[in-house]
Amino acid sequence: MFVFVLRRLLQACIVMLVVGFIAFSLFQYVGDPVLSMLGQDATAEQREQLRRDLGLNDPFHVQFMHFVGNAMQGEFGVSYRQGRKVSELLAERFPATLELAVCAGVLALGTGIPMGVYTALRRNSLLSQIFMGVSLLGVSLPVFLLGIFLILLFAVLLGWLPSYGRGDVLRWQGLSLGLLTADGLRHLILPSITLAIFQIALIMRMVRAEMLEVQRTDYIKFARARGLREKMVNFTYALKNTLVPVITIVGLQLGSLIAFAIVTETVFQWPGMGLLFIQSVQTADIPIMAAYLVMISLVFVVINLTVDLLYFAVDPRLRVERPTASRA
Amino acid sequence: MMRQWFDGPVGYSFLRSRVAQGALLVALAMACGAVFAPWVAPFNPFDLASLDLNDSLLPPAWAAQGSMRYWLGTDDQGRDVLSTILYGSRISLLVGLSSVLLAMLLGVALGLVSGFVGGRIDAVIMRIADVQLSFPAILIALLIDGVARAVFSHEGQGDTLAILVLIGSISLANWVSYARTVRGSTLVEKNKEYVQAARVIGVPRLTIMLRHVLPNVTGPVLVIATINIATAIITEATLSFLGVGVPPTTPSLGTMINNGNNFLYSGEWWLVVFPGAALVLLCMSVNLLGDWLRDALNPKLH
Repeated sequence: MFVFVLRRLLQACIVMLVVGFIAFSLFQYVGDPVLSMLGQDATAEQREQLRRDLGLNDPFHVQFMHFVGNAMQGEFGVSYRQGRKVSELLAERFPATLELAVCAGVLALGTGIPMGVYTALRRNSLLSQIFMGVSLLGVSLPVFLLGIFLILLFAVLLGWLPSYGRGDVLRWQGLSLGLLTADGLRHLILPSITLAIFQIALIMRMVRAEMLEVQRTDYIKFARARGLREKMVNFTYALKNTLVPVITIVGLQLGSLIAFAIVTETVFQWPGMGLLFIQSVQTADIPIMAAYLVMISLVFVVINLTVDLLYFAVDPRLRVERPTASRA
Repeated sequence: MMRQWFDGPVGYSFLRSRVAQGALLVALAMACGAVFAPWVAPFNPFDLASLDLNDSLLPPAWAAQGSMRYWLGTDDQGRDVLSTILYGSRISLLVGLSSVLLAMLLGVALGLVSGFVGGRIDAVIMRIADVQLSFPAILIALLIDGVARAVFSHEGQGDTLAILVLIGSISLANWVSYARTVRGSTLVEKNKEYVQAARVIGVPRLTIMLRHVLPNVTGPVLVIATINIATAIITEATLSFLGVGVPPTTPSLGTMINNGNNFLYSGEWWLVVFPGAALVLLCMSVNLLGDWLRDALNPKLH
């Protein structure tokens, strides 16, 4: 057991080191920091002085250790374009992304589970067919296109909802929340739906499959045979047992929500970290790219590690093989 | 070969499946339109001489101000939308197909080596695969693409280079499923008698791998490849939409949607809706074909 935990931890550390190395090499091979900081007409001595101050003359491994040390404290230097500290920029953008991801996640769970249960219990009803059809569309439609079509329908044609930015936000100790103002809430609707659609389809299909599976088990048949009420059988015994795998997958999908927020944020010009990252890729703003790279990897590594450990806690047979979060 | 194919279970299943027939028809039509774009398209959107800025932002032919010359309207530079879609799906298909091909080559090679050689190489390749599977493929493609663009940016961004980088990053994000499948079947195959016989008579290991094992492990690979085509096209479109994929000078469907997105609020809806519809049609038909092929080749379902 101890060996298993240790091996997972080691693997996580190696992944983070590799990602850190990639981020570090970005600084090394893209552009010359001295040139970009001093400009063209600095003297050779000034350059040499700065190189020494920045530690650029140190051997490679010393520089890398220095970078890792800084990264661990969340220090990635100063953005080339905006001239502000990367850690500040990211911290400023973080609440927006988190808010969007949480809303989408709650929405996905809140609609996906009931829809899955319904389609499993009333397999042949018209509504079930519609749900299944829509979910097929939800899985195969590219996220950005869905967002654009939603904007076209609800913002441009009908004019019901805003499609752009966060609207009014409540600021409180450096945190900004759009959830608490009416305007912010209205701005949240379309992006959350866009981000949630794929997850809704996924959760719905999974709950449906699990529910159909569990209906065939002996304990459900026995409960029926004993004459327990349908409601009791379906919701107390069947649904509860389907939720374990669902929760695992949802946990794994949390990372995807943050990753896909990149696309959603770009469509809706939502001022989150994803938009910041895309802008920095377009302008080759290395410090931001490196920071985002390290941060998003950390999120995924932590989520996977947690899920692994949870599996370990739940399943004594210790399955190392587990479903993964790969998606189209 | 063709006869065998049609008399077998796959052909039978195809003749019975209306969905598969429809999907194939749509996919073939779009592929033909893309391949033969220079002959089929009413205009050449890259021929600057034929562009007329007076014709920019015209609505589709059936709208009040529409012109019969441009069926689906024109964009901000006066390019015919229909023609640009045809040329654009060319780029989309090119990037999609070649990245699937590249991912397949890479995955099959690594899976074969991993399964056949085993030992430390196997462990390393499979650990990398595990790690990669825990990230969404599209995020990996985006990160690789972003990093590669940053690295190459100071060498002047050529269009060809951008497309190559795009193909490379999409395939690097998608090789894992091939490698895992091929490794699995290789592990089974390599202990079979014909492989042992080949080994006994002294056939070199590389020859055994390529001529004896490889032909027997490629079956499932084709199914995965078909399913992945749609994924690859969507990934390309998404990256292009985000502005880090195909450059605007040679627009793909994603780039067109990105451009059209700027005109959403000023009422030029056709710049987004038509390329978007083309993308959805293309992806859904390829997806349905892939699903059908998977079911048709699955002996458990017969």
